Amino acid sequence: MTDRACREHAEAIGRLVDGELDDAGAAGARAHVAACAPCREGFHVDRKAREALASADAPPMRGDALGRLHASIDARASRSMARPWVPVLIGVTAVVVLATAIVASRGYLTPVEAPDVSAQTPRPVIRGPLTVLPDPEPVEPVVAEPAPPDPAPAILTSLPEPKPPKPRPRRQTRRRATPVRNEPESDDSSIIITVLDPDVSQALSDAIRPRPGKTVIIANIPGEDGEPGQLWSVCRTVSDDSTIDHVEVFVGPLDETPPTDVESETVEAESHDPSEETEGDLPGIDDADAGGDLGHRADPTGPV
Amino acid sequence: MVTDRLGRAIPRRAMSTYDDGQLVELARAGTRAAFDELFRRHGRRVHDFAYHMLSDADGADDVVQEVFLRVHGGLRKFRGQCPVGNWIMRIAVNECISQRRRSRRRKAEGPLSDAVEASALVHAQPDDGIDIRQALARLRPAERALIVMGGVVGMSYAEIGEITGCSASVVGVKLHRARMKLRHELGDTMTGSADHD
Repeated sequence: MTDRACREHAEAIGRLVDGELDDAGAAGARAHVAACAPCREGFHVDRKAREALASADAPPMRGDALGRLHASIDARASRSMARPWVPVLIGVTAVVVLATAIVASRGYLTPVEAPDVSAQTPRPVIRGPLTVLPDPEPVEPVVAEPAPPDPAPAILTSLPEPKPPKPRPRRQTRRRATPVRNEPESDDSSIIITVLDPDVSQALSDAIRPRPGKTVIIANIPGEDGEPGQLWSVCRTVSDDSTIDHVEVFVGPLDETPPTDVESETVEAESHDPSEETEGDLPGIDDADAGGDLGHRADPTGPV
Repeated sequence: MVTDRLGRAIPRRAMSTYDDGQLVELARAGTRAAFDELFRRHGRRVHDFAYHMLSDADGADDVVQEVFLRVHGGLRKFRGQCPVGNWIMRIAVNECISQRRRSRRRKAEGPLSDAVEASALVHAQPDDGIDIRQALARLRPAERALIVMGGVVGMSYAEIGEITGCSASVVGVKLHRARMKLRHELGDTMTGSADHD
């Protein structure tokens, strides 16, 4: 007898022992068992095991099994009757846990630190018009001349506590903006930008569009190391498709006079085509600019 | 008046004359005698199955108690999609496997149940020298349950399939594998006796 025939009949032999074969199947299995010694041996083992299991009677259930069962059922019923609030408590607990989990997963429970108002110093805010040059006509880069102190266009809302001037090295902060496409703008003639983020250039590039008559008001210019600063100048470069290639903002300390060579030097370094470069002048914003409290700068440069 | 799931009235008569479905309806309605009749019909089968699964008479008694407690608690949830006896046996299979797991955990914690198991095995030693229970004890619980359901309780492949959630042909394949292991565990003991047949 081949192994293949044995494999084919192996399961049938078990079914034969269990009486799960029909007549034809049983006859085939019996024929194989009669012809194959190993399968016959297995068949006898299976049959003996089944007979042994069937004859191995279990001992009777002890005592009054039904009475004990009823006692258990009654005890369980009395426990649930004695504590009718347990299901309610479980339900309420589940709801509370679920609600807490939902609230926590949405971050509503994240502790928020209240700002320390006492530690904040009055932040000077200077508002003044920043006229954006018309776009279609490219102009030559103009060096921003620091205007004489003229408080008329600027609105001083608060001033820092007077501090004794301390000698500091002259420094310059330069920030770059990513290119921004021109988009349709509203009819507002002025935009107030509160620069509270070191990435001031992005906010400026959003605001300084090559539109004639556009006024940009810049407030809270951050200086270096959290000190109040002043906006020295803004330089922007416009490409062929009226897109602002980049905007550079120069912020310096309050107690220093803006250098006159900042703009020209930067334009020379960054401009692609001088005929397409333009620059926003800073009428009304001069050494009266105030700084914010950000305390860091994007690209500090050395003394000019 | 008690009605069944279809709203038909169940007449009052001796409990032994009702079928299992009607007994469930009656027990669900609070008739204690109906539940007792269910216990009388299926309790012995559950006990035999548990005894051969656990090799422990006391453990088998505990299983019976626990199974019928669950049956009593689950009467309202029973939807009648399978015969009542198969539903009860399914609870018994799960309870036996859980009980085995618990006893193994106890055994791992201390040698307390070793004596119990040894005494059970001595008690189970059949007269013809075939140590079938010891061989069964070495099988995995699922394999052991299949062999006991087929060999002891006398269930058909279709019934076993209904309890275990597989078809009759799959039951045949699984039983065949379990038997192969059982043959291996029995070793020469039965082979020698088979030669004399």
